[in-house]
Amino acid sequence: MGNNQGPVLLAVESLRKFFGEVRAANDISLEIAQGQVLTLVGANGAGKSTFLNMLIGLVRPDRGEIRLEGKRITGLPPEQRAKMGIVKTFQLEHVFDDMTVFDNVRTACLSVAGKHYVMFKDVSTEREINERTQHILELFDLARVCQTLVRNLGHGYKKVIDIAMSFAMKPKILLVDEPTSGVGEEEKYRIMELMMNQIRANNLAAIIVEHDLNLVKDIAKETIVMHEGEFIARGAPEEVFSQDKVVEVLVGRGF
Amino acid sequence: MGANTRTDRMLPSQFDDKLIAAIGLTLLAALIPFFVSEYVRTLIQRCLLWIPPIFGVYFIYSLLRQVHFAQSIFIGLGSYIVAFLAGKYFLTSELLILLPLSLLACVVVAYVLGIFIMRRTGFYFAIMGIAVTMVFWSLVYKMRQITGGSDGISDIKNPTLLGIQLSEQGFYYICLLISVGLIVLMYRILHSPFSMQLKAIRGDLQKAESIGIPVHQMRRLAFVVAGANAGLSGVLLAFLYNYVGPTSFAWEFGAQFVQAAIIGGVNYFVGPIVGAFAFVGLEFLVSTWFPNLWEIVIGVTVALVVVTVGEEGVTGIAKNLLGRVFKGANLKERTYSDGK
Ligand SMILES: Nc1ncnc2c1ncn2[C@@H]1O[C@H](COP(=O)(O)OP(=O)(O)OP(=O)(O)O)[C@@H](O)[C@H]1O
Ligand SMILES: [Mg+2]
Repeated sequence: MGNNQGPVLLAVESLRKFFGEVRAANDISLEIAQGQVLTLVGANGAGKSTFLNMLIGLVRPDRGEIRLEGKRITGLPPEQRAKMGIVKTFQLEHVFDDMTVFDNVRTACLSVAGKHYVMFKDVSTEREINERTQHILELFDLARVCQTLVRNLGHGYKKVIDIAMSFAMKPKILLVDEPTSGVGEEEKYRIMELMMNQIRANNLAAIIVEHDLNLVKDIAKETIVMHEGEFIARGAPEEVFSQDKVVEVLVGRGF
Repeated sequence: MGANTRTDRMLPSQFDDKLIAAIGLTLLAALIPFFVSEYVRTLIQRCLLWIPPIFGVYFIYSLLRQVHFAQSIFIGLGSYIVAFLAGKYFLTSELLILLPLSLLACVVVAYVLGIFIMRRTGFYFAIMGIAVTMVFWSLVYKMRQITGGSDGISDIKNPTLLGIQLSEQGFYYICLLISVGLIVLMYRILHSPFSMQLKAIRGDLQKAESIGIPVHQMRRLAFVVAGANAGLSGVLLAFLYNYVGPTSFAWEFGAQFVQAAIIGGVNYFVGPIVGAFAFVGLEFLVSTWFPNLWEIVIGVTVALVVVTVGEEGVTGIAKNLLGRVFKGANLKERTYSDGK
């Protein structure tokens, strides 16, 4: 397998998910080391989102095992997995629309600090939480809009807010489902750079789903190509994208 | 910039205004018994005791956008605990025993019911609430030997506090204290980290659970908070009328709290308070002058409020009028519930 940088963080073994006839995941296995960054590419419907959703517990696999730092997490609910350090951003908009940007990120900060049942305290008195929220907003260049209701912001902002919330969770591995889908060309690079800076700065492991192959070449040393629920190639982007079978499944399908 | 968030932003002067208004109204409520008849005092007491269960409905609606028809379960629980322990099988009428005991019972029952009811949302949540309430009601109705069936239980002793028999006036102040105390508590809860995460849950359940929020547990606890409010009111309502009947378990009774919440206006923190006084006041007026028209009047009132001002309710109308009279007056208390 690839060039592992440290001990194994996430281990996936024969993960399977069929939706009737559709093979969204067909016995996928994968190991990711601490700090290792991978990109995942594949045509529409290849099963990328389903794979990530199984890792965080939003989709239940038909069979297979998922281990995080050696601990079996296959049956755990999403909230417990998130607390253990496996967090995902969403392909579609998943943010809290009728809250401010500040409160979106603050909610994640409260959650990771375990402050779910603090009922009799005003949230404004949680100083550490509020400072950390502010800090994260600055890291992601969101401080200017912190008091804006998220519903009033554009798609690109919502993507960044989703990513910022995921970072607030102090993840060990970040799963990023198309961070730049539906975002303009220029903003695309800005978002990707903001995110990659943080991933590197915190030495996080990451799986990044991305459709733009030029971006893929920039982001990570290693990429995986997915097709009909299977990983059909893995390696350095340049090398992988020149393989015939990869060209065949990617070309003419939106690539 | 610092953490100048929406809740921090409350200006001192604005806050003082509200605090002064709240203290003023509480003082008014404290002085009123000296100036009115016993009948009117009882009526005000009824209003005060309606506030907590309406707050429960408001809480569930404003944070989770669910319609809670099942508050009568907890009114009934609190009331029947009093009816048994301070009436039928007399053991004690000590408030310091009965209030905590009912609170505990309501917390346990709400938690267990919450496991089922809170799994559903929207239409199904509302219907589940009604269905479960009907089960409670018919059990109480049918177990005639124990509950007195449709006759209810009437020989409830007057309450004591620390062993001292409370006068009617004294009991009024207990009701005022608990009602105001619960309002303050609800204000706290609505601005807490707990409520902020509840709002996130209703905003996007999948996102909420994927950032580590225990969504089901928190939703159950929201149900418990609502039920606990109603349970305490149930205890005091039983003492107020020295009578408890199975209608306190009826879902139609629970629906009245929903109606009162709508009339008050679910966009405002003071909505439940306004709603309680408006509903009970209207009930009083209609039953005095047009005893047969109650259903029509309340139905038309709710319909009118919904059609004309929607979630703004009577509070919204009042705020609008006052805003015109005193330019710049801002009565709106922002909680997480607004911001549409
Ligand atoms: N809940 C579901 N029920 C039925 N079929 C599903 C479900 N979720 C996904 N699928 C199917 O599984 C396959 C894989 O879907 P998935 O969303 O994982 O693909 P993807 O690689 O993320 O595609 P895209 O690039 O369009 O996001 C598709 O054929 C999809 O239609
Ligand atoms: Mg996808």
